[in-house]
Amino acid sequence: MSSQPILRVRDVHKTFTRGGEAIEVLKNLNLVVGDGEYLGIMGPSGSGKTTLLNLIAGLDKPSGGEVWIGQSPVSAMSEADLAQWRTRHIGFIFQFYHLLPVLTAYENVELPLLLLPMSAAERKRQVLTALDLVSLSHRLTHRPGQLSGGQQQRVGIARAIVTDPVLIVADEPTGDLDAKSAEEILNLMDELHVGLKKTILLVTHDPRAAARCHRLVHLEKGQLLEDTSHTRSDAFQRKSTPAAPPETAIQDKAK
Amino acid sequence: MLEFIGNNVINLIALALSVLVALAGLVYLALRPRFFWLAVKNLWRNPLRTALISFATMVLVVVVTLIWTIIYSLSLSTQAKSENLKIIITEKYQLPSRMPFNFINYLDPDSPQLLEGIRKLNAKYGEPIYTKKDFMTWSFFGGSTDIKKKDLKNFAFFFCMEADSIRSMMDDLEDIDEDLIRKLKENDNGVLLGGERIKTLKLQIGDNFELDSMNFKDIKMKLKLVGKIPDVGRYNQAGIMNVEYFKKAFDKYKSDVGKNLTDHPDVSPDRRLNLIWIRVKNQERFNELAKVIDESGVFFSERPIKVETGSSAIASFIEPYQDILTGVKLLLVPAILLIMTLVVSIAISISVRERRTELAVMKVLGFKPMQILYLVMAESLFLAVMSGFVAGFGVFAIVNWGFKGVSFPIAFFPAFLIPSWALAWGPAMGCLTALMGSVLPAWNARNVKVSEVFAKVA
Repeated sequence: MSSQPILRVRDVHKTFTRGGEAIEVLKNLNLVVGDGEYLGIMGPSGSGKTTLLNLIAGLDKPSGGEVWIGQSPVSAMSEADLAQWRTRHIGFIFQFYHLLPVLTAYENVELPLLLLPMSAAERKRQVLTALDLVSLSHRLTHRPGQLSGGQQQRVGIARAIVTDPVLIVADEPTGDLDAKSAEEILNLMDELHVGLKKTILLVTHDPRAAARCHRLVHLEKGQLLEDTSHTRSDAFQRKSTPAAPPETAIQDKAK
Repeated sequence: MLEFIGNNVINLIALALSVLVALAGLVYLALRPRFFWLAVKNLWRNPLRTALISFATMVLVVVVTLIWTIIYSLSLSTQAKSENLKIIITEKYQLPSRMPFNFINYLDPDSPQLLEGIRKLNAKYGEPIYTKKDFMTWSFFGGSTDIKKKDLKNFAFFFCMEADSIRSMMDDLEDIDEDLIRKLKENDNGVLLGGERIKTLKLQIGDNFELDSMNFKDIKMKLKLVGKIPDVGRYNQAGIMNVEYFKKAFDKYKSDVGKNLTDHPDVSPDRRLNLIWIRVKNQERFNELAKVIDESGVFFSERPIKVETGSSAIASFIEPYQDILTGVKLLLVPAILLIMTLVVSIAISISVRERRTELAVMKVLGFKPMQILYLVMAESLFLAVMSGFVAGFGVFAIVNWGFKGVSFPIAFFPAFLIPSWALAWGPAMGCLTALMGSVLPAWNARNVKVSEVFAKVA
């Protein structure tokens, strides 16, 4: 892990009001994630994991405290500025993939690139590279309905990395998959982390997924508790250490 | 120029809106082809719904276009012109107007009996204030080809006039084939008929046929069809007859029956001229000519006459319908446009509600709220403007080229042709209703809260 923090969550608390009652989901929460770190966040349902991810990705505003990603004060940015910032800095992987059903795999991956100033040729190169990374070059013209769950999630991952973001946020990416597909997705996440040197924030209930993370925190009663007993298994360490990162348009861009 | 703009404010707004939305679409397509593609693909999400919205829009555009065509054409006819005014001279106290033929002698520019006041006006302006080309008389003659069965299938209606006045004075017949006028002049009993009437009467060019008058009792005509009036819409059911033959028919009646014409009120010579038309250059000349005619009452004492512009004459004629037309204009048309807006609004609202998660995902990917709003509006604009254009062009082509006009017999208009402006009305209606109908759903789409959507999904 690099000593340079990429994410700083400082004294964040979040309160929702339901039926006139204030529910405090996050209480003075603090978190620092270093560049290149693979952090797992676990916790029971309703503990605020997704809320935390939303705050980190700038999809929601904290009731108090600050969220910084690199030098950007996420919690203080306007919605329009956040949208633009998110395209370049955050890749989001959803539990239920959330691909646009009317678009092909290629078009789904291309979607965030439409927001960036680049030529059509450059855009095409990025999309093909991202789809190649997730081994779906042969499914370019398939719509989500024509793909399996695992394939859809791989398209979702390609869409998350196509803009070459500094941080990948994954909200239970294996939660809707069978064991084999989940394994494939977790291997792919390892490759993103090791091969592309991506910082990953993984929210999960799945112990197999948690085992892949370098660091694990538990969210309970609105606060984070470090899992000091967690160590990444050697087996996963081996799997997730490719010889060299692939020469891709995304890597080129990273350089 | 100002008069043209004044008379066509709505048309010019429609045209500007259509051109603007077309240009905006092209710019959007050129600069953001993939966004455009995304909007089109979103419409393809539910083809049945898209087809139904499109169909509803087209139906309503067609209805509004047909209604507006009649309103527009009538308003155009009743608008006072400032140049090339047509003056209509009719009997003052009788409807229908029936004047003696000798009135022509005082108003025909080539007549030696032309009113002294008009001669003075000619001298004042150093030119005739109107020439023979600007002068036309009409006598109406209606009759049946079957004396025993006088119905619409056997009926023919004629403007009895001088053939030389057709090209210069009859609206929309400025380009009539010279050969038709020549044939009419060469054949004393020759007539021209509109295409629809020729079909109804089952006649062919060159056919001879007899007509028993329905407005001049006992008068019979032996006519020869020498040609068809060009398909300009308004004359499809009408005919043109030589006025001299019309007069001769009465002379023949006198010689055949041997009665003094004055014994027969319908055919007496003082009751056969219905209208006199004169065209003058501008309002000033119209005012002066009208004053001269008004002050020459002694010449027209048999049947007092009135002078008015063609437009005001038509306005008087359609006065009884004015309330209905105003109601249609101010209530029915806006109501239809409101229905169109609601159709678009409901459909886009349903679409937005179904796509809340997708819209949230797009926000997560980096779409700005306003980009989401534009995307939703672009979808409805594309659909409604295209539907409006197709409907506008379709109704223009089908009605004008297929049906030869909207059949709505009022005033002197048996049928109305859809004006070229209608090509702009359709897209403009689509644009307006799409903008109004989609702004609220698009605003809702813009304000989709990502955290709320995913809280529900989770």
